[in-house]
This record gives sequence, structure tokens and C-alpha cells, in this order.
Amino acid sequence: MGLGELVALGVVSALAAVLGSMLGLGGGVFMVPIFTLFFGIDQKFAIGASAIAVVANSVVGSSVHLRTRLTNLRLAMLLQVTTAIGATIGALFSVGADPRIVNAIFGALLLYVALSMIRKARAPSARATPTPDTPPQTEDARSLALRLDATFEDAATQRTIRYVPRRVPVGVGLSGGAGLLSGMLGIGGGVVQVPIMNLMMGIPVKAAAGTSAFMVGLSAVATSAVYYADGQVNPQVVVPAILGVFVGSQVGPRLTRRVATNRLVLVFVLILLYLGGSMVLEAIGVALPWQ
Amino acid sequence: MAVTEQHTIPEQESRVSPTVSGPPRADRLDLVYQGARLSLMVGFRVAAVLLAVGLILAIVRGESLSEETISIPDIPAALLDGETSAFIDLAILTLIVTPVFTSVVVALAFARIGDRLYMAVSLIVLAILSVSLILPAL
Repeated sequence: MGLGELVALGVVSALAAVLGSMLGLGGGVFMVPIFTLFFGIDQKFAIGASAIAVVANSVVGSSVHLRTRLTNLRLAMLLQVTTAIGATIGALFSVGADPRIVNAIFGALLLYVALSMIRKARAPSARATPTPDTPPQTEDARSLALRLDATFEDAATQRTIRYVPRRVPVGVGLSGGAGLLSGMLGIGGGVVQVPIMNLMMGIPVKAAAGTSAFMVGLSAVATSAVYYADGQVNPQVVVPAILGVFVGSQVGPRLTRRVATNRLVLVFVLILLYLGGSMVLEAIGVALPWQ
Repeated sequence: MAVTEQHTIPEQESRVSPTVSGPPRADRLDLVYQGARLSLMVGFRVAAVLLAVGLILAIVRGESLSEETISIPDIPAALLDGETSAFIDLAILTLIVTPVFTSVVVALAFARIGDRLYMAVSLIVLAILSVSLILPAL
């Protein structure tokens, strides 16, 4: 691979990380399809590189969330039990699976995320009465007994937010699914994990994102290890991905503060629809024009 | 989803949980959070240094990055030989094991503050991650 290609990989990874951080998604969601569709990189190498980049991003990015206590460490470790199991199973499955199956699952996930974003943007109740960041709290005796309640300072509102997770068994169970997707596709899994924590467990979205940011690194370890051991890690792809994700993860949050993100939702949805559709077409054997 | 009971939590209740005795839980957990942050920082810095050394060597020697990784048992010898790819592969491996190292630190920190439940949970997570590291090699 020439220097130009390496630089291009790095730039694409940085852009993926920027987009991901602006959308609350990980860069892996964009990296794997772009690497495979536009750079012609073998899907296994793309997933391996993405998983390692997710670990790198988590290692770097978690520090801030840990310092501000947005990460609920007890909850993260509890959910990680099933997430890690799912990730290991997913990685072992995908490393030997037919690439078309993995492409189809990935494409379906991207289309689902895009449609969810469209639905969320169009929901009239979302505009008229915005969903509160902190859902109404029901004291969950089980959560309190497990000492899962937590407090964090919301810098935006200067308020101390205390929350008590609900439906912990459901969250633990569904986290296994998030891990499975993470392991199979080389993504962080935050795209599934954050809604589980926010919508199902009643955790404020900032705390859910902060807890997920810590968890995705642990989840991606399984995928990274499986792919490394299988010889599916190409340093020519991994190194630019790591460097790009590191740069993008620094730029993304700064851009998010300055850019009216809601105006870019349509652009992001189109990107996700395009990539998702391309992955599904690739899976069913439809030749893409640029191949 | 149905919510059968709703009430807000008065702010004055948020400082100390009535179910925990001793120092406020926030202070005890500080050790766990600090340990997690420190372990992530150490892992990242070690990986960054290794990666920087590898890339500098590659540039100085005019070498391109390898397309495949060295097998783990061969890395020490390759490092001693000053091979560029050994530094880069070790950087990648350091990144991969950093979260595992963090799990160890978190487990020890929970043990230190007397939270045996989450020490056990962290050790379970560590065991699962260890299986994912070892299983592919078998």
C-alpha cells in the first residue's frame, strides 16, 4: 500500500471518528463499510482494524468521562459480563463467517440506525415536548441493593444529577446482544448500548454515553484479540486507523459544540443509507459501479 | 413501558445514600475511578511511545509498514533485533490489553474499598476477556 493510500485511510478514519462523535456513534460504524467498499480492503482486515481503533478511541476518550463521573463504573462492569460474552461469540463467528453474511448484517444495522434517526427527527412529540435528558426516576430496590445508583455534575445545566437504573436484568440481557454485534462487526456497540441504557434502563443520556464509552473498549478487546490471533490484522490498515481515530476524536467534540448538529442529521442519514444499502447490495452479489 | 410509580429525588438526598455507612460513597469510589483512569493513561502512553518509535524507525530506514503481524512469541527477539514491525505490533498489542489491565486495576480497587461484589464482577469480566485472548490461540 502506497503512502497516499495510507494517508487516505488515516483521513477517512479521522472523518469517521468526527462523524461518529457528532452523532454519538463510534467511528467503526463508518470505517468498516468505507474500508471495504471504497478501498477494497478485505472485510476481515477492515473489521480487525476497526476493532483496534475502537479500543484506542475508548482508551483515550474514557478518561474524561471517568474524571467527570459520567461513567457509572459499577454498572459498566455489571453489563460488561454479558457484553464481553456476546463480543467473544460474535468475533469467533465473524472471523470464519462468509463475508456476505457479515455484510448483510452490517448493512441492515446501518439502515436501522438511519431509519431510527429519521423517525426520531420526524416525531412531532419530540419537537413539541422534548424528551427529558433525565427520565422520571423510579426508585428501583434491586438497583439500590446493587449500589448502581450514581451521581454526576451536568456541566451544561450546572446541576447535580442522581439517577437509579431500572430494569437491570433486562439491561444485562440486552447488553449481550450489543456485545454480539460489536464482536461480529468490529464496532464499539455504543449504537445499541446507549439506547439500552437510556431508553430501557432510564439512565440520563450523558451518563449512558459516558458509561458506553468505557464499555466499548472492553467489548472490542475480544474482537481485536480474535482477529489478531487469526492473523487478520494488517498494520498498514490498523496504524492509519488508530492515528486517524485519535485525531478525529479530539476534533469531533469541538466541532459538535460549534456546528448546529441537528442541521446535519439529514446528511448523516443519507451517508448511513448509502453505506447500508451498499453493504446489503454487496452481500447479495450486486456489483457496485466503483468496483 | 409502564411506570407505576414516579417521583423525583430531592437533591438533599443525593449526597449520601442512606444504605451505605462510613464515608460518603463518592469518596470511596474515587479510588476505583482514579485507578481506572491511571491504568488507561499508562496503557495509552506506553502504546503511543512504542508506535512513535516504530514509525520513526520506519521513516528513518525508509521501510514501509508490514502487511502482517509478527507472531507473539517472536516479538521479543524481533524487538532485540530492532525490527520496526516489532515495535508497531507491540504497540497494537499494548492497546488491545490495556482494557484488560484496567479490569485488573478496577477489581483491585473495588477490593481495596471493601466492595467484594464488584470485585467479583470485575474478576468475572477479566476472566471472560482472558478467555477471548487465549481461546483463539488454542
